[in-house]
This record gives sequence, C-alpha cells and structure tokens, in this order.
Amino acid sequence: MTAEPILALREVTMTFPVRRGWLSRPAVLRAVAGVTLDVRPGEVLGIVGESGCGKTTLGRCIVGVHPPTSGRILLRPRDGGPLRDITRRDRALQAELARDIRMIFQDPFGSLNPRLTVFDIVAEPLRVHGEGGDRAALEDRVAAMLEKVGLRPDAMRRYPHAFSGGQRQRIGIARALILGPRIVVADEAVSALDVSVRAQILNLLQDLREEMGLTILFIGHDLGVVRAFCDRVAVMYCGELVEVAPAEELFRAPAHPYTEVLLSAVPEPDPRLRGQKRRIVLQGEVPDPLARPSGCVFHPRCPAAFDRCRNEAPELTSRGDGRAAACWRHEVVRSAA
Amino acid sequence: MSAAPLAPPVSSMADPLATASGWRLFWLRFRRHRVAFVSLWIVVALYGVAAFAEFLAPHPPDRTMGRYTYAPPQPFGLFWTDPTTGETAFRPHVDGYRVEIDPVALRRSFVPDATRPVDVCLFPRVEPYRLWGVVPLEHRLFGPCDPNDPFFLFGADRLGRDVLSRTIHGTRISLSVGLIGVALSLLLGIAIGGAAGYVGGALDAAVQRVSEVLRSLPTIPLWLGLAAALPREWDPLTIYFAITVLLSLIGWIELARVVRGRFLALRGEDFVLAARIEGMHPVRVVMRHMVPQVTSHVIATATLAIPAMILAETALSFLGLGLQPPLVSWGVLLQEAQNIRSVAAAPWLFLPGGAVVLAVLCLNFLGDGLRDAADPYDV
Repeated sequence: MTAEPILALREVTMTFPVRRGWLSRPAVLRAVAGVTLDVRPGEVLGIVGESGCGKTTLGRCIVGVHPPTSGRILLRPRDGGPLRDITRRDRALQAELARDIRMIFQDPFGSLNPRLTVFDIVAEPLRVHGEGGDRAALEDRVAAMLEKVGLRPDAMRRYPHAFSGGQRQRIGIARALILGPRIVVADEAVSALDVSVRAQILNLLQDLREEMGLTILFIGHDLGVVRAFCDRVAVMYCGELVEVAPAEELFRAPAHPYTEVLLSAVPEPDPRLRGQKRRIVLQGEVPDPLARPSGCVFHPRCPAAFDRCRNEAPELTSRGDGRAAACWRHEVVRSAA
Repeated sequence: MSAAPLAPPVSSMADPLATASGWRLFWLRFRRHRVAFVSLWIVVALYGVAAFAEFLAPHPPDRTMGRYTYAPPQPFGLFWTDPTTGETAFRPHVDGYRVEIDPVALRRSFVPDATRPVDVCLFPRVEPYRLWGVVPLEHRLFGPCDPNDPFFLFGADRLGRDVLSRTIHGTRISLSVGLIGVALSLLLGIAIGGAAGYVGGALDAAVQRVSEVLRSLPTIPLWLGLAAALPREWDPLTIYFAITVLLSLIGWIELARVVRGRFLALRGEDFVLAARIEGMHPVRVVMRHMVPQVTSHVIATATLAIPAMILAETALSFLGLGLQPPLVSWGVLLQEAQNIRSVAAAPWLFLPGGAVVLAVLCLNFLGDGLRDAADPYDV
C-alpha cells in the first residue's frame, strides 16, 4: 500500500441469526465474511457487487449501525496518530465517531424524517453534538450548508415532502457534511435517482470531496457510475472481497473471474460496438448465504474453476501493482497478461 | 463549487403545502372526509353535553315525581292554539297530561293533553345546584317555567324520573368510561407495544404471545368474572374506576399491536438509522423520530377503541355487573328498562340506547376518517 490508511478493516465479519419460525433454531447468515481492506485518505473507494453481496452491511458496520461479529475496524485519529480500534463502540464513542464517519443513504424518501423541517433535519447533528449555539447561529450554518449543496437557504423552513428526489438527496448530503467529517459512506447514494439528477449529485459529491478533503466509500452496483467516480474499486461476492484494484485497471483488465463476468454484464451504450462484446452468462444462482460452498465461494459458477478452488478458499493477495485478487487462477492470469 | 445554479424547490414558495407540517396535512386530509368531519362535531357536542350535564338537563337525574310514573314523552310546540278562543300565539310549551283509566285492567295511564299546556322557558330558575360540584348555579338551560309542572321530553320511568335528564347525565359516565379506559389502554399499549417494537427479539416474541392469548379469551365472561370479583362494599365511584381499569386490561392489546407494528417498520427506516448513527440517546431517538410518526395512527386507533369501551360498559351494566344504580350511565338506564312492562308499555325507556348508537356510530366514523387521514399511502 502506498499511503497510510485512514480507515482499515481487518477480517471484518458480520453474521445475523435468521429465524425461520419461533420454535426452530436460528440459522446463521454470514453477510460479510472476513473483509480486509485499507481505505486511503482522500480517495473515493468504490464497493461493488450484486444485490445481497454484503456491501451495504459492510458500510453499516463502518458507520456503526451494527457492531461486527468479529474482526476489527481501525481509524486514524484526526491528529494522525496510530490507528485506533473502533470496532466496539459505546454511545459516547459512537457520538464522537459520528463527527468523523457519516453516511449518505440510498432512499431519498426514507432518509429524511417527514415530520421535521429541513432546518431541523440538517441542524440535528449540530444540536446532538452540542455545536452551533443559538438558533440564529444554527440557521446561518444550515443556510451556508444548504447553499453548498445547491439548495436555496429558504428551503430550510419547508418539509421534505416539498422536494424532489434529487433535492432530498442534497438535503441528506447537507446533513452528512455539516459536521465536517473525514469519511463519508455513500450507500447507493445515487441509485434511486433519475440519470440526469444522478450526474448532478455525483458532480456535487466530487466538488465537495475536493473542497472538504473527504474520503468517500462509494457503495454501488452501477459500474458505469463507479468507473467514472471512483479512484479504486473493491468487488464483493457473497460477503467476501474478491478483487481490489485502481478503477481504470480493474475495468481494463479484471483479475478475478467474477469481476470479468460483472463487467461483461454492463450494457454497451454504443450500438456499433455492441456486437463485439462478449457477454458471459453464468450458470446457477448466487449461493445461499446460509449454506456457503466449500473452498472459493465463486467456484460453483466459475468458468475457470479447477480442483483446488473446490477445496481451498483463496486469500485476497496483492499482485504488487496496487491490485489484489482472491483467486487461485491469479498466477495464471498474470502470466497470460 | 460547481457553477450549477441553486435548484429551486419543486413547488413554488407561495405553495402553503410546502411549509405545512405533518399535522396540517393530516387535518387537510381529514377535512375531505365529510362524514367523519360531521361526526367530529357531533362527538364534540356529545362531550359538551357530558361536561355541562347539570346545566343542560332540565331536572336532576334522581328527582322523582311520584305522580307521573311511566308518563310518556310530551310533544313540544312553539305555538299554542287556545281551544276555547281558537287564537294561536307564540308560546313554547309541552302538552300536559290527562289520566286515562283502562276500563278492563283498571290501569292508570297518562295521555298528552293539548288543552293543558306546560309553559317552557329558557334559563328557568330552579333549586340551587352546583356545576361539577363546584360552581353554584340556580338556572338551567331550559325547563318548565314552574318547576313543579311535569316536563318529560323523553318520558318518565317507573319512579317518575325524567329519562332525558338521566340520559344527559348518563352521557358523562358513559363517554368518560371510554376516554379514561382508552387513556389507560393507550399508556399500556404504547409502553408495551413500543418496547416490543423497538427492542424486538425475545421481548417482542413474549409480548406477541401474551397478547395473542389475551385476545383469544372471550371478553364478556372474562369481564363478568372480574367485575363479579369486585368487593360489593366499594362505593359506586370506586367501582366505576375499577370497571374502566378492567376494560382497559383487554383494550391495550389492539393499541399495542398497532404501535409495535409501526415501531418495527420505523426502526429500519433510514432516518431512524441516521439518528442512531448520530449517537443519540435511544429515548431521544424514540421521542423525536419515532413517536411523531405514530401519533396520528395511535389517535385513530384510540378513537376506534372508545366506542368498543362504551359498548363494553353498556353491556356490563346492562347485565347488572357494571355500574350500580346510584350512578347513571346509559348501560344502567338500559338495565332498568329490561323488563316486559317497559317493552310493552314504556318503550321510551330505551331511548338511552339511541344515545349509545349515536355516540358509537359517530366515534366509529370519526375514527375511520382519522385513520384514512393518518395513512400516508392512501390517497
């Protein structure tokens, strides 16, 4: 790794008990299985994968919605000291971390309390953390923040129902950024928006990131958006990290067979090029997270699987050029390249 | 910053809906429900009657006029024609009574007699009484100008007591049983349902099972059993409170289920998650972000629970195990009417039942309207 990480995940695992009836024994669902990942300061790290692959759960572990079942989450303090373990959080620590690590939600309709005015929503972090002083001072800060996210300050007296999806997302961003955080977890932050609005919000995030020096964890499934917006991309499959690489590299030459398949599923916008692209169609389904396959989680569907894949799980290993993949074929791919 | 222009809000600033709070939207939606809106005013009027019963009723509830047992309702008229002169003049009155004796059974019965009007006044002077036991008054809203004249708009019962006055006084207890019972149910329901929904897990499962068991018990025998267990020597007022407590012991279940369901749904909402990530105290999360979302639903459910309470009290009292006669409630009045003589000769004794129907219908319509207005997914 080139830069010192601002946030480091070590073997983070999150399991949920799943009840099938109130008298039966709960099964264990491994939503996130041993994820190790370094997040560098100032980067936009994309986390991609299909629905149910655990990317949202991973983001929620980081912001503190649920404490991971095992593993550690480490954060570089603001003054740059050694990494600090923030895995287990009491409410005081959670409140302290809420200034540093914040979240932008997917659903612009569910993420704002419909009974509060925009002012109350955006000012709430300031109030909770005892900042901002009296009402006039709070209003000034909220107005400044609203302008920053491209809303008129007089929007603060209105209720969320008066705004469009894109505008609500701007309000959500204002709430996330008003405390001046260092890390923002954007969980599918643009997935629910129209394509035109999506571009506006991405531009806004890009501008704010430069202006405020944010590190962004961008969780998404739209690979086009991820390619345009992220510096590095981590690919998840069935709760595991299968590949991490700089965005351009990953899209140019995927190292993991799953990434390859994922990329082949991206629709080609240019009709002249459409025929040339090879769409890899996988057999079977994503494995039931309650009954994970032995060895590599991807082996039952992998077009390149061999004996070793069935028995041994590959580790996410660095290839030295800033890329890492969890695949036994890894060596083969490199020699072929 | 990009040069993107500041996006104007979707609706223009002049749109009052944009700055309308949730409560205002709730009210505007409720206004569209005509029946519920009319019912609201009737319910308000009924509670007004309950509050000012002493002033509105023409007689005290326990005033007996022994001469007029089972007197039928008197027709009311604003103009009176003198049968001797044939002149018609403005003279608010009710017809007086003439006694008729059945030649076979030799039974005396009263027949309204248009030739003997009883003058009716607004604010007649009566014996001094106290409103709510506090405010000394010596006028009522309306009544006979001479307090010794018979004045029975709803007829009289077996002791010559005015059914209208008793119904008006019964309003107070019958409607307040609903209110107090629902208030108690609300406390229990919100606390238990809220805890089950917010904490979830084993607590939720336990609450669910207990409420399922309680719901499956037949209510009337249960209430009968519990009411019969109340000590006979308790004074009527204590019995009254004990009965409301008994009613709310079952009543909380429905409310708890509503609150629990809403809390369970809300707990996963992103804005609640956002508040939790903020490191807020759980009580603050619940009070600021969850309770305001359920209040309109709770009000609607509570309104629908009031008529059930009223009916339950009426049923218990009718069966003789609820409130006892010195107290006057609609159920007590109906209980006194349950004999063959009333059915055959004095059907007006069932008029309090009309009051029950009116109150229950209006509260049901009102609750329906509130529920529709509270449901954001229904247009």
